[in-house]
Amino acid sequence: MIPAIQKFISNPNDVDGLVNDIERQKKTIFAAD
Amino acid sequence: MTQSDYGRSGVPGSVAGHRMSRRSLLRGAAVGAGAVTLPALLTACGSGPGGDGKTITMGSNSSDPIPKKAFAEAFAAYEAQSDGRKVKVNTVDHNTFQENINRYLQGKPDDVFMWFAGNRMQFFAKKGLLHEISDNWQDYKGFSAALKAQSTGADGKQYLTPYYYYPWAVFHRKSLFADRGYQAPKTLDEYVALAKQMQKDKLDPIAFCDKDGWPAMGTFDYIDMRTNGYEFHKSLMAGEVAWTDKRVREVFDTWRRLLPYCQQGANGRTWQEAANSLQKREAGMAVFGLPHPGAQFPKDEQSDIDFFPFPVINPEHGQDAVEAPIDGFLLAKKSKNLKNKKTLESAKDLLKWLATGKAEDIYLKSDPNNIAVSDQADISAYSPSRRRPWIWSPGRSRSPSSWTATPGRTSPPRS
Repeated sequence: MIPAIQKFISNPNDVDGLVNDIERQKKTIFAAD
Repeated sequence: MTQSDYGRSGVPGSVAGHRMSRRSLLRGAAVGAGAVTLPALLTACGSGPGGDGKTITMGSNSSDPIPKKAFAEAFAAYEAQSDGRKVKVNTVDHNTFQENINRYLQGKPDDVFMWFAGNRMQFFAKKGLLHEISDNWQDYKGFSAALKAQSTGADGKQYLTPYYYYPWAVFHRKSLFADRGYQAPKTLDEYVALAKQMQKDKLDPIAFCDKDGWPAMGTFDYIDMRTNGYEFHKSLMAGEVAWTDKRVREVFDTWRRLLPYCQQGANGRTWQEAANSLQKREAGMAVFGLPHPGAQFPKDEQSDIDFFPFPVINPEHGQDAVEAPIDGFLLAKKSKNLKNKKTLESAKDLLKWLATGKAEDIYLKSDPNNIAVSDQADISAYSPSRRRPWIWSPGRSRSPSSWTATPGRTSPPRS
């Protein structure tokens, strides 16, 4: 989450890539529970 | 911040009641009286397995000078009233502590550690890394139902002793606003218009930083809550809504609209540096928690710190939600010392003392940039700005924070 937001701050134009990246991370962690 | 529904109560009901008088407190003397259950032999073991029964180790993420000193004073006061108990503090750099918390709790943690209420606590409770303190809670007085919910795991047991909280808002200098004739904006459009004016006036409109990894999350949380509402934000943090949802994209689109007015190079700037630029009048505003500008302004300029709630984006949601993390103390299940019943009793005794209004008063005297959670604490010394209705009133929502949901640097948000 944190690196994704930092990437957004330096390059805010790729919202698509950003939300897909965070969603992917979320699924990995939730699956690990 | 929590899966438990603490309703729409934004601040602890305990403080929302504006209690100004301090009750005389009954504490300390009676607690722990029945704690000596182990043979005296064990107490002679010194620092061997299980500890000496009287020394409590404390993992602290309060590495900044003001909170570090304030905690030291609180622990010294505890020691002075306890019967020979000692608090041995192990302070770790704040960001390092946050990033390593997962490993820390699974390795060789201290007996007690500082952490956050709500989802961040629940995450570790679920993993079995925390000691239940429901018995302590039976004796706690002065905490609201909302606070209890924030200190409760998904299994209904209590794990955290809350200590203080700190609302987030848009901070600025009173004098700068007065000199330039700036008005606190109510809506996003007014916020952008003010930012444009500040740019014309050769200011960085919004001080901005994210080197620490968490400060920008406050802005994300507020834009989401103002755009989609508190309930949506809670669902997003709980992992129930996809980040690819168009409502989340809208949040980032709005944020993108604000970025041209934010200090550039934010990923290389610490929160202290961003707060300094506000103090030096280089920047006009900053989204921060109450302690952040407070820590960077000299004493004689503290009264110049002012703030307003994050502006309205969707009128349907208004400014209902307040981002206000709660910090507190927890017991680490994997602490070896806590296997000694006597040390466990000592640690619980410390928590009982920290749960009193007096303990909060001692801390807040040295770090007045936070707000007490106990209704036994003395709030008469608070500045008028800290008594504003939007901070205190019930009916406001306490936010589940995106960064509060990240136990480690690489973890995504969770409820």
